[in-house]
Amino acid sequence: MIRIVNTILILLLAFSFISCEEKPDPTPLTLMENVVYILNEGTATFNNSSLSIYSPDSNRVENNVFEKVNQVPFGDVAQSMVKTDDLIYMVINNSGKIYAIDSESYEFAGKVTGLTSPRYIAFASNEKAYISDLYDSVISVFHPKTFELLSHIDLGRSSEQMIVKNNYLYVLSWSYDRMLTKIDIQSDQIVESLEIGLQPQSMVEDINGKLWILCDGGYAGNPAGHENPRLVRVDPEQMAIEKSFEFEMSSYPLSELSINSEGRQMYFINYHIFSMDIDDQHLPTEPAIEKGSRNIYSLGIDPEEGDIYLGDAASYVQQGIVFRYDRYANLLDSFYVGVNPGYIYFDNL
Amino acid sequence: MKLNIKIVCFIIAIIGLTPIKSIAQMILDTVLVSEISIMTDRNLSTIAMKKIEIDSLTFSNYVNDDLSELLTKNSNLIIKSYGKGSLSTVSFRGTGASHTQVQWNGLNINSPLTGQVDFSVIPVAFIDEVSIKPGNSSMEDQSGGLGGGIIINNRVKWDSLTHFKLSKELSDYSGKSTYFQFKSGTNKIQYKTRIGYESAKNDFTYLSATLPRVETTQQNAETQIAGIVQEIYLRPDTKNHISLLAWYSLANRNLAPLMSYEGNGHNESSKDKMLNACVEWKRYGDNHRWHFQSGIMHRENEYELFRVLSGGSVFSNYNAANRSFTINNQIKYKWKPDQKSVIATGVNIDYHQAEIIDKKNTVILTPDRSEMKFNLLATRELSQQWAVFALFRSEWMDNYFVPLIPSAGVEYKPSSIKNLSFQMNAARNFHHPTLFDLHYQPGGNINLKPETGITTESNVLYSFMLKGLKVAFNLGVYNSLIDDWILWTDTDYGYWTPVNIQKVNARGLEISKEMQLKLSSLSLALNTQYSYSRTSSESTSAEFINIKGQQLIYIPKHSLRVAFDLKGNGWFVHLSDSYTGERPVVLSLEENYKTPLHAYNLVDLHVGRSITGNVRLNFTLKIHNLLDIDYQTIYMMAMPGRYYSLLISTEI
Repeated sequence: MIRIVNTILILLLAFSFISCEEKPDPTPLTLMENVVYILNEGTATFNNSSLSIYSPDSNRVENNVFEKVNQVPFGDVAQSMVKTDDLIYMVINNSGKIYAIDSESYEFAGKVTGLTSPRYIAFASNEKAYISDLYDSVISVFHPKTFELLSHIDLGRSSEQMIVKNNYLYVLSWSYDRMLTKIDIQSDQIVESLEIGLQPQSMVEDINGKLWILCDGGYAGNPAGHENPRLVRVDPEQMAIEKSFEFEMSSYPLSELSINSEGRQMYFINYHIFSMDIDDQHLPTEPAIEKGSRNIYSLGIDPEEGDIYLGDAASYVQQGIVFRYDRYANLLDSFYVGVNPGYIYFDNL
Repeated sequence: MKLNIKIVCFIIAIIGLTPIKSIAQMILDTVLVSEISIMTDRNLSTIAMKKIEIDSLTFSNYVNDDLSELLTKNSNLIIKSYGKGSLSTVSFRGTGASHTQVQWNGLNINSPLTGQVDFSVIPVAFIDEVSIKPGNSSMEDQSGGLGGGIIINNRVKWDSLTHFKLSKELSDYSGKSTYFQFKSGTNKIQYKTRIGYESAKNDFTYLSATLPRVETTQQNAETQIAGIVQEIYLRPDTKNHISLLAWYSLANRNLAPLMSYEGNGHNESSKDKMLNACVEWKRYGDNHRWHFQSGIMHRENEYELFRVLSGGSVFSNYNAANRSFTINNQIKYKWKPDQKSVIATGVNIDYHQAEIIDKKNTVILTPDRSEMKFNLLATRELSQQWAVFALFRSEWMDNYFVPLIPSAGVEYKPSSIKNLSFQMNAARNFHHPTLFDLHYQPGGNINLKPETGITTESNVLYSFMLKGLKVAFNLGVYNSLIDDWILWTDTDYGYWTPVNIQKVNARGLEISKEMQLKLSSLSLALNTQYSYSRTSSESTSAEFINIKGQQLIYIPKHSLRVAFDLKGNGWFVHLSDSYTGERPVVLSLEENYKTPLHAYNLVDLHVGRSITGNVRLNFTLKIHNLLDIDYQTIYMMAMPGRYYSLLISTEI
């Protein structure tokens, strides 16, 4: 028996040495051109956000790009991104910061820190950009080259998606709110506000310069209430609602209003994926793409090809999957990305 | 650093491998050291059930620490800690923290809201015994321990001595802890009071996980914990034993941000109050024992997370106050009809009332729960070689009734080899959703089903004594299939909700060796434990099919604990090495998708001097994280590098 004990302990010795070995460096990154960016939100407080890049030409995908290049974890809850000629700006919501990386090498280039709960970026010019914030009632203004915080616009409420159009910044207030606010980008003064519907979640501009806004209507138990979701068309010049389509009450959140490059065909998630022409007089009743067994979390429309990209969060705690369809809803490809693929961005936007 | 780790690994392995026979030949003295914890003598009440007791020597090394620290260094339990003094949970064999059932003097102290116990608010100085009951062994005490159970007890010493004990520890990062104990009494009544206070700023530096990487000082990690335990024991005659115990503690703790945080001021805090109290009456007969117990348990938690806004005002992300109150009543009866049999039965009736308050959104929920549990245990020694047990539990919880939860085991001791035994057991187990699982707003899911498990395990135990050497060895394997595992996941609405996963499979191997040796005036003890844990989702539902077979997050496949003690001529040395293997932090579909949390070897060294006389004095210098390694038990939560503390204790 003593021998048996010693034999097992010899195995423990061997194990001790094996276990103390350092892991080899991770697989090197393969750089690609003309890529689609998938910003993976990760799981809140797990600090596992990541950036994936996908080449529709070669069907190749590279995951965890930021961490592979910069050897530091990305952060907690990546929310959105914007690309300029030479830099990619990524909003990392629960880390209170924006990271900028080189758009070719993905190497760290700068950061904006000291934010409360940043959500989206909108560029007014090469020298001025805006950051919306979920908790802070101000919109932060920063210099995209120096990363310096320049000023704040006191919105008096939470801010979400933004669009810059004809010298005005249009801002949605989503969290427990129902407002669209118009801000003069020369003076950074609020011009006008308009009540849209409960929780305006996403916004696109159509070929006619109209703004389409999807309101999710809240959820059962929501402190701000729960009402029918709606899709609203707004004339941004007049700040007036021109059309409003009301959905049935839903236990699933409507989200991710997107539009093709022609600015005519809109897409959104309402359990399934639906598509709607801007001139349609009724909401679509048949889905463009069935949800199936997936947990659809994000949606993106390729402005060149019109391909439809769906992010599947699966169980929310594992790597997600992105499905790529052509404009006729034929499946072209699918690939693994990071946890909770929440934002799909196209190189040629 | 790499070299140092190897050297320490080598030293530790060599210590663990010193041939037992050769040590035995060196024995000069036959005086035995303190009782070894894994013994193979047949105890009729715990046939085929594994129980690991933390010995008094280990207790003495951690007298000013919390139970989480003691278990981290001396058991293969999985400890998830946010830092010293911060929330620390314990789990077994790849299961969750709520699958660890904890009893304090017979009272289940798991929070009815979260199902967990925060081990950082249990000072070692407030307890006298800790037993670890992995897997099915915990079924003897209660169901729900899909991982196992931890039993912590206070014990009475029936003498007429008055005894004072005072210990104070000062450590880096403004750490202070003071514990005081007073005991007095006669052989009819005993009285003991324990008071303690500890605080720390935890303002250590670490290498940031931001770009550029810089030395950063930990922020917002201050902790303050205070508590008092009052014990009164009465023994009016030899057949009656009455205990009155009360334990109250307060914990005010700030919670540090993630290492990647660079936002405007992060202020997260938790204030906890805990009261456990029970009265216990044991009445002994010639061949039986009655045990009556009533207890109450109160928990209060105020949690707040707010962020500083650009104008200097603050935004409250979360502001919650949760309370729970539990009344427990139990009756147990144990009967030994002959020298070879034991029959034990009991009824346990609990009532939990809770308040779940979201102050920010003015939402108040007041769920409650009633529980009644019945158990019947029969053990029988069939021969000198064979013994068996059968245990039946029945549970009623609100409207959910589980008529039969069976378990059974067999133990075999071959007559040819003394102190060798083989144990096998199998059990069904239920773990009910917690009140948070069911009612938390937003996200609570009233449609959750209880988690159900079937666990089989086998153990080989062997021990021997050779002059001054005592050795105990244990090899065990287990396999648990858990259906409807409860997992909190994110939702499209931005809040989390618990769901049942179809199936999780936890299986593994555990090896431990304890050795105690007396060499003239020197005594040595060496405790080595290794475990291999493989816990994976086996669900075939659409959301989880892609991760079928994957190791669940934060569960190391390999862990090794080595503790070495040397004592003699008034000096003592304690060296502990805790190796925790790498742990996945993401359920990956691709190989090498995400670098797992690195494996680490945490080595602590204590060196001390005891001065005995009418007043006993102990001085201990402790070096924590001797190798100054970077490690994390929770991804992106910074932990301190090497630091020092000085412990002075006195006993009269």
